[in-house]
Amino acid sequence: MTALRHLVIIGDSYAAWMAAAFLGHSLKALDGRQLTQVSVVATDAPQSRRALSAPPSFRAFNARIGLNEAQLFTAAKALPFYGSQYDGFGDGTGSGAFWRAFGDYGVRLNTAPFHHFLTWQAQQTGMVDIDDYAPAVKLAASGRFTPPVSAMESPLSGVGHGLNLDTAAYRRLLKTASPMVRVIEGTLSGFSRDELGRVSAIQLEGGQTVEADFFIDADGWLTEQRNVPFVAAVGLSHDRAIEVGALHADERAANHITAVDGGFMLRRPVGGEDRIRLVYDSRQIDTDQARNLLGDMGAEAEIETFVQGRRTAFWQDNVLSIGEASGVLDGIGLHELMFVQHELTQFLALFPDQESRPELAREYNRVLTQSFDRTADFARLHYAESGWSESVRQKVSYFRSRGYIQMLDDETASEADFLSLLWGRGIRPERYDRTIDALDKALTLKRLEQMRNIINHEINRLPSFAVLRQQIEQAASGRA
Amino acid sequence: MDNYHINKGGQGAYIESARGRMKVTDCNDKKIKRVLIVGGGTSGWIAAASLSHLYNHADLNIRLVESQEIATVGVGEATVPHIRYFNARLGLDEREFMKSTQATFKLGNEFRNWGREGLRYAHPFGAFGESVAGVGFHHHWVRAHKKGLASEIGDYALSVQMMNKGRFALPDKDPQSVLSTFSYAYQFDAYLYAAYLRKYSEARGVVRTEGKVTHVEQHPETGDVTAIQLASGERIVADLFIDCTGFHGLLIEQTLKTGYEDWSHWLPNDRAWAVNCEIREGHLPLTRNTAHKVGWQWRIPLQHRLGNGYVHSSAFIDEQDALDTLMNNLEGPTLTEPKLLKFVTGKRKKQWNKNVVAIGLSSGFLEPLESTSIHLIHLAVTNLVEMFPDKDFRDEDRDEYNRIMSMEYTRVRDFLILHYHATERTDSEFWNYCRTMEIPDALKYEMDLFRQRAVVVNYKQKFFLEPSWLSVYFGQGVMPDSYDPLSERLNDAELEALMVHTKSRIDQAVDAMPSNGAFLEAYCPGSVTPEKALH
Ligand SMILES: Cc1cc2nc3c(=O)[nH]c(=O)nc-3n(C[C@H](O)[C@H](O)[C@H](O)COP(=O)(O)OP(=O)(O)OC[C@H]3O[C@@H](n4cnc5c(N)ncnc54)[C@H](O)[C@@H]3O)c2cc1C
Repeated sequence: MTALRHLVIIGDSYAAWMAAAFLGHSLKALDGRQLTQVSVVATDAPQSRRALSAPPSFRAFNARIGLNEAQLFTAAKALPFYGSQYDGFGDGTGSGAFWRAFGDYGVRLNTAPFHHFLTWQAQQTGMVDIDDYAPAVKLAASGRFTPPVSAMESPLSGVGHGLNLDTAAYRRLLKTASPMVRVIEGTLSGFSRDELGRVSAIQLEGGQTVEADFFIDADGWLTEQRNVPFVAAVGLSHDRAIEVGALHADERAANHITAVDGGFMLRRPVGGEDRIRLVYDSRQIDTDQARNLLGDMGAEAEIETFVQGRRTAFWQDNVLSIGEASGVLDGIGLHELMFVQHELTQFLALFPDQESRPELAREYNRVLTQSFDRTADFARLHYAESGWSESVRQKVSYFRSRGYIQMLDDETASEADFLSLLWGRGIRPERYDRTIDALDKALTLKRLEQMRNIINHEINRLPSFAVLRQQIEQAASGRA
Repeated sequence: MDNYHINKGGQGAYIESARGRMKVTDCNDKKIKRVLIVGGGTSGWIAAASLSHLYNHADLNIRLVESQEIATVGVGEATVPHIRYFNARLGLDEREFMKSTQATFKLGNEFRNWGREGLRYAHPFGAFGESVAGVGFHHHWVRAHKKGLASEIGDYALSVQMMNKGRFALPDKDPQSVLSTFSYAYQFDAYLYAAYLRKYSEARGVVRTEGKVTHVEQHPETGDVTAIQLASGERIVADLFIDCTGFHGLLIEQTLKTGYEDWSHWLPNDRAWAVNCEIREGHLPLTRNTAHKVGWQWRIPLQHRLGNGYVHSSAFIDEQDALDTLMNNLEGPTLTEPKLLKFVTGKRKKQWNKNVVAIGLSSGFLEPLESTSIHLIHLAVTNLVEMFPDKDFRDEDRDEYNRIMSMEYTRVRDFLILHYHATERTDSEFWNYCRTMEIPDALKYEMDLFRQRAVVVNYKQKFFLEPSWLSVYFGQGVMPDSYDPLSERLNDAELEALMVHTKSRIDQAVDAMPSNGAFLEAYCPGSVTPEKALH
């Protein structure tokens, strides 16, 4: 077995640089040797300036490439957030205003998943507020902040913050975190194959040829040139986006996702400003309407066009497609950074050598295409029933019937994510788990009340997020 | 805050709030009030114990019918670690449980003569080494092995060394400790286990009725089971029926004709001779499964005796030869008459059909090679609780239950097939058949991937995880073509040091442990006598 000699990453996107930093670090031996030379062919494809969000697990990715949070705050304009406040996502019967945050709901009181107690409480007392049991939601909604709490007995122990960041700034930071990586600038003009049909080199305008034994396409050009088939995501119709900057409108560690006819508006705080992104269906909203929805700021902004869907294979021969080159969704699930992280981690777990081993690509494609489809399902769950896939329909009907949350292989959203969304959209279980009936009713109501009180008490002691944000922004501007 | 108004309209009751409408199942007439468990073997009493523990006696009446005329299978004595979580859920005290069932500790299964005659390996409930430099230990091991820098994989698993040396200690929860790298299960007397759970269940209101079911009544339109009749003439009505009648499948098959998926072309064994004998070779914390020319023999040590059985295929060996094989391979005088059990490997097409849930042998059978049956019973009960129906028996509940159980059976099945298929044995028709048969696609996929790159497929729902697959692959001589190239992040000296260090850390920890026999005797003496506890 012989290690790859040269691996080339194509593209200048955040995904390209995530790959460069991650592989550069991972392919370094403990004694300092580089097992495989990693190069980036930084194409001149225009990179849109936009914000992205990542769940708490993103911290592990950055730690792996040697970046700590303070660096992300100052250099990538990152800001912590606990969750998103949705508005207008009802199923027709309610307002569809709800929260989805990074943490669980309640603590189990018996073998039944906690959320059955919500249904039970509603049936017993006629009232329940799901958010009362979600410390992460409380944190977000109350505008407070805490560093991660590890003490198991604290109601805050399962809560973590995600990050919003500016992709352009993050890209710049990633470049500095990839010291072992060689950078080649140029415009792609062609590629050649070896006798087995594998890509052996790419050509740049001006005649330069870059040979390698493995290519990661984070640009899309090579994937497109090789005609890897694309399948559209059925039922997901958004195909345009405009993003603009605005002044901070909210002092909380939270994003806002508001439904509009034909699309949604996503507002997220990054360092120094809020980024507002309108994502919409061009058959329902035309360009002028879209610009109007964003007010003055919308007049000049660039309009991004996209088609939701994915390639049938993400790894074919010796080429791996990542990020938008592998698949595109409208971003309502805030999945982009998480998905690239997932792609890179899986790739590393199945890392190729110089031999051709189709089994590795087959397994990678099985896991990643399935994960992509699950992610798409999570997006579909935000919208009208007419766009649901069979698997979404099934999830909804199980939840409605008995509060059961079906978790399949390769799910990318958590049980709590599904719960927030299903419940928030007004889908309520008809039944709760019967084991609850074996508990003493008064005592159970008391324990639920205690749970709510403890959460409130813990949250109310915490400092406000506004203070932390000021510190972050001062540090960032001091550096700049 | 949602404020709910309870609104009893024409179409049932709804709770309405600003955020949505919630239909309220009209609790009292839709709720199942009566559950009847038919069968009082291991599965019947596991179901009774769990349901009586979890549900309110006043709310849910649980009855169990069993017939002394129809014996239980009386085997099923080796388990997997999940039983400990199940016991904890019931609130059982470990020592008392072990004492009452003559139980011993089990750290895994030992396999002899599987990949090749003379080959011995352990499938432990534990991990092999630790990942280093972001790469699973076994990749480093494969590389070291190819370079001649490593001995067999079991030398790098604490649990395997405990098995080999006959030692035992309880695991440590601290993830830093090498003692956190293993788990354990039990081996116990099947009759005592059922009796133990019976006592537990009866104390929680389960009513047991002795009698043979002679007639089953069904609803003329829906076909649902409505009642059973006993030989005594007594008639018992229920809403939900749990069929624990073992291979009889009284309700699920004889009554509902659910149909059976036959898997015996992949797992051709269909008979077992079972006999108990005196224990002579002492108390090793393991179940031993020795392959013969046809099939294999189990050795399950309990505190007071040894359980033995010979699982074989009637297509390859006749009954008498099979019996002789067993009797010639016992280590002590027999304590019981040998008993012949017949089975067909496979599962019911639906394990939950109409208002009947089949649990235990009535739901399907996978041979005890990896001691999975009792686990599958626990799992069935757990899933039934999660999907517990109301009188309207919704498809959602049944379909999801059947999907999950079917997936679990299938994935365990594939793991068992691996044991037969990954072999070099050519000394009998039986092994020639197993070695050359077509295997299920999913298993072929797994084996191809492993042979290329030592990677084990990781599904969310998969009972046997990476270490289990690794032990069987490596133990039966399936060596991958390559390992994770990132193992090269360690240079050869670092690699060798990793092997040496891992092994010596394990050896030190194991040498400090008491013998399994001594530990058992101190922890939960049933009737272990010093001469029986040789180790
Ligand atoms: C050879 C062999 C070895 C095994 N080894 C293991 C092992 O090591 N580990 C493991 O986990 N599992 C093992 N198993 C499986 C394990 O034995 C069973 O899963 C377990 O015993 C459950 O059996 P059961 O309760 O479903 O059926 P049974 O024990 O057969 O009980 C059936 C019950 O139904 C009653 N009944 C039947 N018909 C009627 C009727 N008409 N009226 C009234 N009552 C009726 C009987 O009286 C009896 O009480 C093994 C199985 C076999 C065959």
